[in-house]
Amino acid sequence: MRFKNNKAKRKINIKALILLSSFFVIAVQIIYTIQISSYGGKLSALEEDFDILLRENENLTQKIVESTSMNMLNETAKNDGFIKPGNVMYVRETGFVASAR
Amino acid sequence: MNKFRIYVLLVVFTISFIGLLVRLFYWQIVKGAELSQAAAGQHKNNLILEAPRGEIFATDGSWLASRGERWTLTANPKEVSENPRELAEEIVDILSKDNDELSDKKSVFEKIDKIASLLDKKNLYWIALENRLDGQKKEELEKLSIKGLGFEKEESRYYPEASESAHLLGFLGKNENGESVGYFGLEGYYDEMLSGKKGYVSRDSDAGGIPILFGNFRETKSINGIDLVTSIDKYIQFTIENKLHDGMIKYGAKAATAIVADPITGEILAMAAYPTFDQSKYYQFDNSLFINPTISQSFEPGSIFKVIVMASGIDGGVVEPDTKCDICSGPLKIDKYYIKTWNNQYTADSTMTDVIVHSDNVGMSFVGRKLGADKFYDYLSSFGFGKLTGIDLQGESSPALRKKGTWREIDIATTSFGQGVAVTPIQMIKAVSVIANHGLLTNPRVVKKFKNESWEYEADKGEVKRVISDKTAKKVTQMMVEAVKNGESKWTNLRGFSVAGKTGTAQIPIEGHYDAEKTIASFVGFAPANDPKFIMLITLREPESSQWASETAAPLWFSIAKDLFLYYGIQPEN
Repeated sequence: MRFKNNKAKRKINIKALILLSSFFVIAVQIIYTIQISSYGGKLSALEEDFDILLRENENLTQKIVESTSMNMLNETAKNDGFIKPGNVMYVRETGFVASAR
Repeated sequence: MNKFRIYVLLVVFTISFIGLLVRLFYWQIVKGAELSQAAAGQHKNNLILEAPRGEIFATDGSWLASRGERWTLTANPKEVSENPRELAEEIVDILSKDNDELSDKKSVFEKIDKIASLLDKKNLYWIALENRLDGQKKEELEKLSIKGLGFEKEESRYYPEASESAHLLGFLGKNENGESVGYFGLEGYYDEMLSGKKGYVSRDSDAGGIPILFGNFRETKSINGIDLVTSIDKYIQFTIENKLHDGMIKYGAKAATAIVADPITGEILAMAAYPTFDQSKYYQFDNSLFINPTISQSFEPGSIFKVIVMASGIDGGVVEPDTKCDICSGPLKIDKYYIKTWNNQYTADSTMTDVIVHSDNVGMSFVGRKLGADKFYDYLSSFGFGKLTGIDLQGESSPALRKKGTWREIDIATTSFGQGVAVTPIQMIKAVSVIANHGLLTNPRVVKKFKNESWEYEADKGEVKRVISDKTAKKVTQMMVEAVKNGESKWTNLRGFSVAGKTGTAQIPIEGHYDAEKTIASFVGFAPANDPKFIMLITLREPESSQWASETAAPLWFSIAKDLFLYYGIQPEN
């Protein structure tokens, strides 16, 4: 009688174990699926951010390119009152020299 | 009765089953390929990974050509519900802002008609309405929020110096398939390197376009274009562009070229030619303007060629700077021709230095005769005449030298003073650089380095060859210094600075004879003479103010050199 009871108990335990394992596997599958799906969304958002940054980077580079243009610098220098030296005098002194006229 | 009902049901089920089979056959076999393609279109997300074109930098790292952003306005006429004409008017209203091509009513109406007719083609899914839209116009068009209109990114270029360096850089145009291709100059020569390769991504996505990470995924990575770092000095380029333009107007020349190079390394520091074109609007200019005259247009060099012949004569051991010319007392008769000096003045027993200083054609014929045809040919060939210089710019051409063994006495005489021989400006720079570079022949190059995000390597400079001895180079340099100090251009000389140079006034051959009025005035020189920092060649085609180089090309050369002395910190010798 005791022996019979143990066998029945063991049968129940195996069934429960299979059932529990199945639930566990399904739960894990669902959780991972949801997680991976959310990663897809994140990836898509990152790609959008990347495009925005790329565009901003291109715009900034464009501004730097424009500001290094010799024509632009020449215009700016003229507007700021810089003029080209008309007459250059060469002196023999090696140190600093100043002359007032 | 029950049996009958069962039969009826059986027949109904059988017919339904057959119907189902037929329908399945239709969807899966007949329409299978089409449907699976449509399904793939819904759940497959295909992306093209852009490969940005490489940029072109000046020697200081600033840009000569950078990536630009332009857009093509597209439409799906099937989706456009607005009246085509009204929509075309709205679009053209935006397109015509700050647009030279749409500045008059006629062109505006023509544009409206064109766009309206395109939008009217309701059988099409995709049409391009306008190319090369900038970001501002794209934004304005987007604000219209019209269903069926779209934008596609175009590969484009931004040239910060506008039309300057146009011949040097070339431009980015379109081929017959509408693809971006570099033409002429650096853009053309290095097109394959600059272009890069587009990549491709194919992956599964859900109804919202969100990628499914455990779905199918295939990627071919894009390869960005390679950047070019050139030897072009922006300051020198800016200076020669402006001064050459002013000089061309001042002397009434039809065309002009200028090259500045480092004679020791062969690196091109600046290069300019007029008339020129605007690279960003290349399609508005005549094709003939795209050709770079500094590398493609040949001319008879005239007296600037004398320094090459004199160097050959001295190196060949047939003359020395103090050798006296025993035929220089008057015009030289060869067959039915008379060789005369440019001013018809003759000095008996002129030394070879005098011959260069006074640019004496008879004295040069004396050198040519002494050299002999074969030796003469060999020297010209080793100076690089008759073949391409190998400069890394698209479109170089080289006029041929008269074949060895076919030179008559008159050919030797005329070639010795630069007539009857054709060269390109870049060939002249390469050859005269030999004198500046202690007798060594270098190869003219524009690109110094290739680089991308993770690596860079030096460009091949080519083989350096000895053409004349260091001793000969020094002797000819001294003769050129004398020519600048005491020759016909002495009044333009910058006192105190050691410049080695030579003027050249060549008549232009037209229909078998030389036009006495039409000349190409040129000046080639390097400074400081004993430790040159730069070599420069200026040519002016048909100057009107004076036909003589000493009054046109030479003063222009010294006007540019004055700025370069300051820039390089070159001081007067005494």
